[in-house]
Amino acid sequence: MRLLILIAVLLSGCSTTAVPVVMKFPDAPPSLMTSASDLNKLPKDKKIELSDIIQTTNDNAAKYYELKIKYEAWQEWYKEQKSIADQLK
Amino acid sequence: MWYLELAYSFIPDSYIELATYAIVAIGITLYILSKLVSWIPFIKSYKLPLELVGVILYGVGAFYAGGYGVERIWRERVEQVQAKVKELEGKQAEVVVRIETKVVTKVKKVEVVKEIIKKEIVEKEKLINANCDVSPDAIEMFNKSVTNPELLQPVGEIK
Repeated sequence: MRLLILIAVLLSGCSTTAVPVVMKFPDAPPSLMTSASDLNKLPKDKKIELSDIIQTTNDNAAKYYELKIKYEAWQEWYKEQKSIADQLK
Repeated sequence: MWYLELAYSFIPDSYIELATYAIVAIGITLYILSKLVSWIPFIKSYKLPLELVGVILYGVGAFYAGGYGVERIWRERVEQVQAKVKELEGKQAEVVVRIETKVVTKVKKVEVVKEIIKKEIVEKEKLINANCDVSPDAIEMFNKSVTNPELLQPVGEIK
């Protein structure tokens, strides 16, 4: 029995394993993590004039451009993070 | 094996390396001694045990030396990859900061332009609204157009 233990100890020299190295998943920019708001509607409880429609359209257009900026930023974030992650291969 | 990993973690690397080479050296020495003792009559009988122990020690030492060599190569590789990962994680963080700054700046510009137009509309309100009556249908259509399509009825059913 002692001989078996001795042999087991002696023959296990190569069995040590290396710890795998993992790169952490990149964070997203905080401003891209906010939810998108709905577009503005015209109020039903007051007399609507053309200026109200233009105002609301202006607000909605601003919301669209804000989302466009964020959408393009996500694409940029993905491309850049991918190219960084590919450097590890 | 876990006990070897545990032992490796407590014993300095240089000691382990030295021990493996020492076992190899002792093995070779014993083997050579076993060849020499055959000329000396009163210790001639130790020839076989010396030779046997020498070969076993040489084999075990060589095995450990090889195993430790592989382990050392792996450790160096892991250290290299860890350094690379650290560098790349720094780059990842830089990208996040750069994109965040870019987004905040651009959104701020959108807000500024929106406020400028808003002021202009207020200034020209009377001019815009002169001789223009907005029908309730137009308001309804407008609101429908800005409603999230997912919340609307299927297209075929919209009147």
